[in-house]
Amino acid sequence: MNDSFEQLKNELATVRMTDGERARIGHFLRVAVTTPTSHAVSTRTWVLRHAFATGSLAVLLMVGGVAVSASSAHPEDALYGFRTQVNDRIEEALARDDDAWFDVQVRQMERQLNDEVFVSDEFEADEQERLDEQNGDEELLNDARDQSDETDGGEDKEDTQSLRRGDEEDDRTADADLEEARRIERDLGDEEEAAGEASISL
Amino acid sequence: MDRPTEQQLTSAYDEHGDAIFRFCYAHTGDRERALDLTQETFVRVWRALSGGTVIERIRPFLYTTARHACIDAARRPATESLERLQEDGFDVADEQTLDPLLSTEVARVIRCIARLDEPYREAVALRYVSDLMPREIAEVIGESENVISVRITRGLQKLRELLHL
Repeated sequence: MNDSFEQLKNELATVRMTDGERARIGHFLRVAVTTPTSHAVSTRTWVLRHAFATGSLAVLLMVGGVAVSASSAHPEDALYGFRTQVNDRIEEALARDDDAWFDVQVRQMERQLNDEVFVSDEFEADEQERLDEQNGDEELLNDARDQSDETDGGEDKEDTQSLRRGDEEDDRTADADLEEARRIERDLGDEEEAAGEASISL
Repeated sequence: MDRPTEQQLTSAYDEHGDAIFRFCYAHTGDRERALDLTQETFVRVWRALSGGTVIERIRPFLYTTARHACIDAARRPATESLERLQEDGFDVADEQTLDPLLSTEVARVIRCIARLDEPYREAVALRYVSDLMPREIAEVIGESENVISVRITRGLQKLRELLHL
């Protein structure tokens, strides 16, 4: 058996490339060797390589930061959708076995319950605020009405007084005009009397 | 690349090219893949030399590089579809399709070695195809000489079963 195998081993040593195959690979190697290669990387290539790596790292950090921020997001937060659609799905995917998956489900259910309590509390707070505003508005309205009544009477008094003063001035003016008119009549009467006397004497 | 490095690569190819090809052939069982892996091996050696790596003993370095190239190739997904192979004349049912450049028996041995499981395949290929001593194989694979000897023994037993010897 060993002789047979030794014979096979000797025959295996004859396995080799053909001349054409050897020349083909040799030519390829000569081309590769003589082609100038520079380890210096162009600035553009360096920037592109590092930009891609940096950009990828920045994206990973942003996503990771968003995920961390979203982990405590409430229904009204902007990242709430990220938490429910991304964080929770990742948490489920990372669960290694059935027990871990069950724990994940329990945690998510607790979070959902807390979310509902949060929404309920927020609704009640909103309602109370709305009622407060409404009550406040009514008070303000009543106050405004009260103030309005007071200011309206005062204004009337002022107007009345103003009118009275105006009337009084008008009266004084009218009196003055009347007096003036009488004086003029008197003067005219005197002139006519004088004219009549003059004609008689003629 | 400077002349000494170029000469080092050229001389390594001239001296060990066929041995590396045999090793790759025993590892893959396919001639064309073995040629590609041989070329890949020397390209990697050239990269190491041009990168300033000082290689004191070229032979273990070549086999280490060839081994890594074969492992990397085995991990790569197959890119050829069976339909395309059949269009090119490959007959799945024909298990007697062997390398016409080899004798029938040698081609059969090559194919059986390629069918061995790792780590026996590479141990047998390095010992009986590339004719390396267990000490050298230990250096290439990175295991102790005793471990290599055990793998060679077990690998040969399995090879004999496949060859019906």
